[in-house]
Amino acid sequence: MKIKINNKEYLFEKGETVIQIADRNGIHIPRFCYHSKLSIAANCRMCLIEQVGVNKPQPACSTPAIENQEYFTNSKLAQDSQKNTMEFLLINHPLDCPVCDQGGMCELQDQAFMHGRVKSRYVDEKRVVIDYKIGPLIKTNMTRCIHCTRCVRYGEEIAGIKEFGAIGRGENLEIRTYLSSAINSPMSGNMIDICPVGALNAAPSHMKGRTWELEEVKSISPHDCVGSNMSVHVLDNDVFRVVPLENNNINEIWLSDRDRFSYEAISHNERLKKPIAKIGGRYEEIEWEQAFEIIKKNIDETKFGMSAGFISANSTIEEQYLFQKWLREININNIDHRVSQNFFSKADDNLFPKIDIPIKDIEKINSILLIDSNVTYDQPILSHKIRKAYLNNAKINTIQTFNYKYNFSTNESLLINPNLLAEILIDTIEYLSVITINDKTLNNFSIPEEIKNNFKGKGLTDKKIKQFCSDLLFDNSLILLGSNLKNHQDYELLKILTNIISILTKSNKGFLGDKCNEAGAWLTGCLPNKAVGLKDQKNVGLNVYESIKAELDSYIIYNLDLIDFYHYSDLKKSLNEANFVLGFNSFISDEDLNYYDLVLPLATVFESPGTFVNIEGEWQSFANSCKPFYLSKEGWKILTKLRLVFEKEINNKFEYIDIINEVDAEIRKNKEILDINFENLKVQKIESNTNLIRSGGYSNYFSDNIVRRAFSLNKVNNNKNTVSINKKTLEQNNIDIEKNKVIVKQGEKSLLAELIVDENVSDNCVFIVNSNKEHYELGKQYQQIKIENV
Amino acid sequence: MIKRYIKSFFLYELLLGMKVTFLNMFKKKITLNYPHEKAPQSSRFRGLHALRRYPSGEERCIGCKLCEAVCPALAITIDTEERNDGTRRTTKYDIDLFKCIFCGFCEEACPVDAIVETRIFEYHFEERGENILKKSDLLKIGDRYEEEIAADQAAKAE
Repeated sequence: MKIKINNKEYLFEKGETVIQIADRNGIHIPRFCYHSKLSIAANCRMCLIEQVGVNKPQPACSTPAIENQEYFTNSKLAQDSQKNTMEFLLINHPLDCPVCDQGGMCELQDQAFMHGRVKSRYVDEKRVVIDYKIGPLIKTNMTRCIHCTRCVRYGEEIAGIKEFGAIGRGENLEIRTYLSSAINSPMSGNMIDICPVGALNAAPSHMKGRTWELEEVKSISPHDCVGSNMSVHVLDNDVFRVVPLENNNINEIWLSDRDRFSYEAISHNERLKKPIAKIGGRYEEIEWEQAFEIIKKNIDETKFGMSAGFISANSTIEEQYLFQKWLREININNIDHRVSQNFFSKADDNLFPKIDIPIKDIEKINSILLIDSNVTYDQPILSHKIRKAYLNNAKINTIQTFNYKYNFSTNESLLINPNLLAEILIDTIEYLSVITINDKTLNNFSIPEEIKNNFKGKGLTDKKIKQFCSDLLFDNSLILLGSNLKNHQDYELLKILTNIISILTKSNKGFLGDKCNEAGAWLTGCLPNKAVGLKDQKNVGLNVYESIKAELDSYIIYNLDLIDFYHYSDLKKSLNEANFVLGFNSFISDEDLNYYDLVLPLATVFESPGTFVNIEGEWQSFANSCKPFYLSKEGWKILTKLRLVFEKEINNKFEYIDIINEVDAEIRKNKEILDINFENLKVQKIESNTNLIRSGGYSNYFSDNIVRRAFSLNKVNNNKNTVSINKKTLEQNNIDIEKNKVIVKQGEKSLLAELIVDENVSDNCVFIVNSNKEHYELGKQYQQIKIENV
Repeated sequence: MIKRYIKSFFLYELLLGMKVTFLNMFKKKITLNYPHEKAPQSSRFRGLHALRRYPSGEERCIGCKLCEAVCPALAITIDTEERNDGTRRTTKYDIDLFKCIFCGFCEEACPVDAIVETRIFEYHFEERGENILKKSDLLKIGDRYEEEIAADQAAKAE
């Protein structure tokens, strides 16, 4: 079909509006309320254009294109009406562009320049609107608001949490939160981007610089497993702000708050400036050369097999590659990255993090089963995709240990104790095996003997389980296993069971991760039993738990805080006993420093180039946004230098590009991904006969060493000591609800915490979200816990 | 031919030139006895910079960085922050006088008439680093010459 805009013919499809056709063909139409990702409101009237045959100007955003119709975007009628609309918009808009953070990138400023009058004719008083505080991330200045309602529609349609609303009418119309509360959405930062004026601005960078001074560097989000693309804006070698970069395969045009505001940690006062070594019982800042000498001396003294190296799954693939290469060159085989994992079995190949379908296809899924996943807060971008699926009438079911807040509604949800998760899944498998017994397309898939013989379900054939199964048998379905479960003792079993369910129901599966480069850590062989490119390692080393328990002589900890380890207290004990503890980290707290003998200052991801492999297996490289802080160095430089210190004859060249080429040749070219091998399956279920179990995972703004130190994000994060327990459990344990306080005990440690009676918690479960150090000090997740009256 | 010889013999052209010199001896002098005497200055004279204040004592500068952006010699460096009362203020306002070409663009760009160029042109530096005027220096100049600056600004506005 064809229409004519400005005397030129353009093709279009049925249902398109004029503004869409114009945008596609590069015809400029001014607009404020229209946004391609949001619904059409047509309330700003800025996009008025002339439609031939209609005597009034029409809004281009809501006018559907009609075949053979003629439109003019620059005729006198169109231009006059745009000019008049602009004059009305500017009546109440303050002329404070010089102090407005939006100045220089403001849609109103640009369009007033193009379509406005030169001089204002308005002489009366302007409207002033009172600002409400809506949290530490967004700074409001509602006097500047032009009521385009983009933020209101964003909350309703994209974030899924309706927080902003338009209150009042006419002159008194105000955009504000309904109750004067803080914005709580984990994707709230996007409102800053879509606001066409300076009404909503980023609070952390508020009034600290102007848009025209910034340099833009493309980068990849260093937090969740999604790998959102982002653009880092740099002012004088400091990261000024982070904004999303459009990538329709991953994050579209959105970015989670965690990715957007975590940059603040770069200038945290715990940042390391120089290598720090323990010399004669005192910590002193030393030179790099001296640091290398200390490392060489100490590692050479350590006996074979008595050292271990742990690397963060948040490090870049180049760092991980060099880290394992260096350690294996100096005969250290005990390498691992799975520090937050609770239990390890021998056949742990099954834990490779991945999702079967591309992230962009999640929105087309018909049915989703979430297994204990706090996806809305842990992987906000994936949650957005699931929400899109939900809006396409997908059925979303959950099996969970806590009724998490989602930005979509669930169909059925089953609330169970974490100890029963595996049993529920076995029940599901048993039920499925009955109903799929005649299904020939399964190619005689039989449930592995190991599972069949060793595990028994509860024999529950709950209505809900039947519902889950019948929903999963839909054509296009997906099972997602939550990232919090990594701390669960049965994580591996849960993964295998999830896999069996996905085979039986022919659905896709996804094992969500909380680190940005977990797949990379697998591919580079940062594991005790795998070498580069997932080849089997000849000399199998010890995994994290074994290394910690074995109390080795030396430990090398790369880009990890001590509280990143699940076995935190055991690790501290082993580090105290060790002769030499070498740390690579960007930050170090005074307390952590006591466990180290030498800490090398590492550049953060914003300061070094690298590559991340996200959950769908997409390799994404980025450059450094700014130079390293003081004397800290990029990880690849330090590791390359260390290789040179230890090995005198290495033929390789040592430029960054050489490392990339090496990684490409060894890993990327021969792509291999581990799938579950059912043949030599050996798993065991850890029986726990505890009455009360601790669960809760960690707060989404406490997930890695950068986010933990992001100032504004941690203001959002509720750092209070709260414990949620449901009423039934409280009654069983004879807890006095009236007192609002409770003592929780794990082993010898105890903690006085505020008690929240919450029916969202499952029975016999004490829900503590790890969001400060005391929570880690108390003890481990998914372990026995006691509660006592104050 | 003979005429030319006579002229050159009696140094006619030299005398002609000397006549101009001689006549000027009795004319009014156009040079000034600087520093005792000074030439008049236009109200648009572009000398040393100053930062102005409002009569209430509040500094005018709002840290919009337009002067920094417009400066062709990149002589101005500004850092801004939100002050406790929620207004945008500069924490650093440096002008490097070695770089400055006194074009007056900063004055023109300023939306609040905060940065101005005064009539001061007599100054010197004794040590390295004195060439950079800091915010406090600029405000001091502004305070001292406020009357003069205000009068000049009023004259310019006419």
